[in-house]
Amino acid sequence: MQKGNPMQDEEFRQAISHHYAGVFRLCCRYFGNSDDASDAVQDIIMKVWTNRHRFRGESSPGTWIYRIATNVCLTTLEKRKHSVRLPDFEELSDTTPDDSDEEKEKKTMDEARLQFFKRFMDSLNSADRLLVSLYLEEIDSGEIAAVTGLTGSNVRTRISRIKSQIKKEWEDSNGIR
Amino acid sequence: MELDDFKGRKLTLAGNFAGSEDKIITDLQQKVESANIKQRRKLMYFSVMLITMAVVYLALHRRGDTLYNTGMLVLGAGFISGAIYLFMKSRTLKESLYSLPVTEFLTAAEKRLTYFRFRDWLVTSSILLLLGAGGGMVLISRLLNYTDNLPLLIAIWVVFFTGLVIFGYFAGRKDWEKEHGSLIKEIRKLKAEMK
Repeated sequence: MQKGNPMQDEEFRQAISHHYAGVFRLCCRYFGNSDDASDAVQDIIMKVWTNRHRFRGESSPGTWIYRIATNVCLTTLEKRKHSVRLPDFEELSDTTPDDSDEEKEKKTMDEARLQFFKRFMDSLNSADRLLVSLYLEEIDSGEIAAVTGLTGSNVRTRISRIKSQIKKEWEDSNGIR
Repeated sequence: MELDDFKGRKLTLAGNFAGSEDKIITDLQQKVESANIKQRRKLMYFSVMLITMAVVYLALHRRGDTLYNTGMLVLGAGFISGAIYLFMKSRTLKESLYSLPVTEFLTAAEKRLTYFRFRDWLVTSSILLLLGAGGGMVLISRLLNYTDNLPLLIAIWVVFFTGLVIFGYFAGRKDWEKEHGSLIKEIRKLKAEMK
């Protein structure tokens, strides 16, 4: 992408193909269920499409798409209000009769961790939930800063605080320490 | 447990999205086209309304006495300005805002969704002045056929029009809050959380 050139249709297709799974995961984490996430992704893609001529290459297409995604997530109020279902993590699959006791125990533990994670995400305010969602997409703090408009150090501080918080809450809920 | 334990864990791409990027883009193009048609239709309705109003007021302008004549012209100008202003105001959140960084987006969205800003006061005051003056001229020119008490007629009109404006302001605010109130509250909350 040449800086100063608008986003062409083919580049838009490539950018969508490249980022859409990540955007969908971001929405799933944010809303807590795939139905609302699907609706949000449709809206995001619409907005990416209608804004594509405004893309000037000042940031990477990914940063630009994630900006639109985060702004859509933040302003999709009604959908957020009923986010009570568990996220569709593939790790939530049922145990099978062939599983060994050790595997069953591992899956149960894994499920407990995911449920805890879901509750933890629900307890966060919208801004922190958004930061965690972006962080878990393995987007670096510089890029998260470009998406959110926060400073890089602010992003790092907040994520570090959330990391300590989840660790502490997990330990407290399991009587560790 | 660490937050990083959840990094890179895949989510099931459930629903209509599994491996269907091409379908999404095709659907999207259809949706954009349909959204464009809706937008064009909305623009056309406003244009027709403006042209009709201009024609009606210009047609009426040719008849009647001088005060009535001027009143109709001023009223027509006021209605047309009001329609343009309402059309501009009805476009709440511009699509382009969504590509801004979150903090800038929230500031711009809050600005955009605030019921009455300074600029709105300036614009509506001018429009209301036109409507008030025009309406007053038309009404008074008619009622002067029945009474010569001009100060009384002016006072009645001023009281009536002021009441109408106050009612319009509060009714409009209620409607605006109903439509955008929860969003603007959420935006302000988010702005506070981002700080």
